Amino acid sequence: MHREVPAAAIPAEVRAECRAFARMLAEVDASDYILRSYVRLLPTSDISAETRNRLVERALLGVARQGALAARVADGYARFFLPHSLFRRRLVLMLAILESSPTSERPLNSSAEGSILSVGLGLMMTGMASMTCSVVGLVLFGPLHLLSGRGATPPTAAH
Amino acid sequence: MVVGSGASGVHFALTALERGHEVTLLDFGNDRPVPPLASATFDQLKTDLPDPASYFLGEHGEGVVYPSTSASYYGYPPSKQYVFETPRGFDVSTTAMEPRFSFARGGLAEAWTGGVYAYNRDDLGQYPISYDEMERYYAIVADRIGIGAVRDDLEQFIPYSDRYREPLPFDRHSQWLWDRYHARRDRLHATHGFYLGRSRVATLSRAHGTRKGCDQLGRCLWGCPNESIYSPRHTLRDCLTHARFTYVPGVLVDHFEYGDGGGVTRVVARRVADNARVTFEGDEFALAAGALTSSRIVLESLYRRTGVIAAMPGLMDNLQIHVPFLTPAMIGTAVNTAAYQFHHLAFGVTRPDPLDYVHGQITTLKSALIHPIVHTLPLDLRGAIGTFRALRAGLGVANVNLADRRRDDSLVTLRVREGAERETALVVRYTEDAAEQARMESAVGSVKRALGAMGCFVPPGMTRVLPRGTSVHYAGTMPMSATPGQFTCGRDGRSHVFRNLFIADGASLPFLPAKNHTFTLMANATRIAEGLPGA
Repeated sequence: MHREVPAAAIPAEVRAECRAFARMLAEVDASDYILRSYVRLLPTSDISAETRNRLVERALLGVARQGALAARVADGYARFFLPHSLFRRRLVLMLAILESSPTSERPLNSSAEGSILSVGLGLMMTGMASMTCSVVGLVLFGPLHLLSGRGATPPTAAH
Repeated sequence: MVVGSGASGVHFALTALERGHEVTLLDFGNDRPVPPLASATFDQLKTDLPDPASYFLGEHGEGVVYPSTSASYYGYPPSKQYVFETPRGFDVSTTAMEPRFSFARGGLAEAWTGGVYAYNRDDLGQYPISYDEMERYYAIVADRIGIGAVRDDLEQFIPYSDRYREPLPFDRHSQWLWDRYHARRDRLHATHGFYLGRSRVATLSRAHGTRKGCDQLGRCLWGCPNESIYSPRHTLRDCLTHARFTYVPGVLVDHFEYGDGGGVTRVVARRVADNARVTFEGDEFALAAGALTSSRIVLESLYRRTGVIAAMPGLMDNLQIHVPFLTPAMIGTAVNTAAYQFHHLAFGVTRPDPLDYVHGQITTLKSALIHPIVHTLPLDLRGAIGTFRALRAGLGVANVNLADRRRDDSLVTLRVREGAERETALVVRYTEDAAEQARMESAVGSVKRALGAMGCFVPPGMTRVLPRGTSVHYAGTMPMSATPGQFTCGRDGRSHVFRNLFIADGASLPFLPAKNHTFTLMANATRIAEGLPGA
């Protein structure tokens, strides 16, 4: 069995990150179970210290902790320009936890039902929102990425 | 004396027992954990387990699939890690291949999807045995394991048997594909050489012995709690009911010793509990530890006796390609995650040379961890989740398999480990055939066009050629041959060099058709055991 992390020992920034990610991905509040699972598995998402300390990596995480919308904008950039970044690995970890947790699995494990027209309309709106986030993300993070050296974060083991 | 409890080993052992022999089966024997909440569906596990994240993602996050250039669309769940755990000191170096080894009780078939496809006359034309000889052994194995199938268009490539049972009911998406195929069948045959049928699977639709029929729990990948999906462990259990059977788990076989006349005298192993050297004597020996591990045992035995490191050419493996597709007609419909998770449909694509026949299976998406799929979509994760939910009911993947032939430059050998005198490591070196890329592109192109003709959409850029070795279909290093060679065996599986050693696993196959070879492994091991000298 794994060791429980004492609640008081969880840094505020990790709590903020967890809250923002859970809200962004599944529109749920991060329960105590989700938070503890996130903290426990966080080390598995880590990358090299050199990459982790790059300006753009720190900026992505710092902005994402501000809330769900900020996290989505950060991801709009990271998906295309830093797909293997620490930020994105943490986001994928949170998605894995959310889809496995009792309070958040339902919205993630179901399909969108309805006529092809309504589903298609929903898809179009999703696409437009994604595009907007990516454009805003490009404006915000593009210059920082250039400043920290434009290289991509190398992929780490996929498990 | 049988080495290994995988598909070949247990059917060899059971047949030998039924013929009156006394059998000892040596096994490392990693055992599987007991599946929790046996009657819970996939979704109920998430709500009812006290710590579902640990069950699905592992204590150490082994089930999380992070973004990576080599990431698969799914990961092996933590509950199946025991299948691929290798013992300390089992050292392998590889070139152009990522082989997987299993030291589990039941072997690699503990992690299979149950596909069982008899080889036909063309396939067995490359063997020193005929289909007419093999047919009886396919039937024996079918009775033992329970196979669901129907007569369909694949029968001309995959012989049908009246021993088969009724298959599992379709999920909605598979039913749609089946109906659409039949509506456009003539065109698919004539234009694309594409034939669709039901998967032949060793999954029970109704009870068979102590095993229950499928309850549609949607937990297949995580480990069926009903034993509806066949595992060699079930046949091992049958062996244990025989008084003349001895099962020895917890040993790692290293090599065998042999006399001047080429007769094997005993097997030398390491006992896991205390690392002690233990030996086992017998009169007839069967290697069924899997093609690569059995090859290692023979090479190690030669090295121990002569000091010579030999090489076994002819290693084969089925290249696998995943072709994800979308069926627009399914969009907007509900997905039932409480459903059999693996494939219901199989397909074949004809090629000018019948030996190049392409085989595949179609899995529609039901229950699954979604994060490995969602993070590959070209959108931010929130947008990708919305898109995935919209398309989910229409998603599927065609798993395309290619045949392989023996070549001298794909081989298995040993190397002496640095700083460890006389301790060796296995070396697996695969060399791609120069024409493989063209064959692969042609096969995948045919499958994509056929899916398109059925009304499916294949998104560009998402097809993945899996790393060589992922199929876990290895064969060919000690083939059956009419002409004796250093590492060949006769049609009876008896080694041409070691007169009381039988090669009962995939190492003895001289050709590897695209069809999953497990059924043939079981049938061939049964055939070889039946030919053992009198009990």
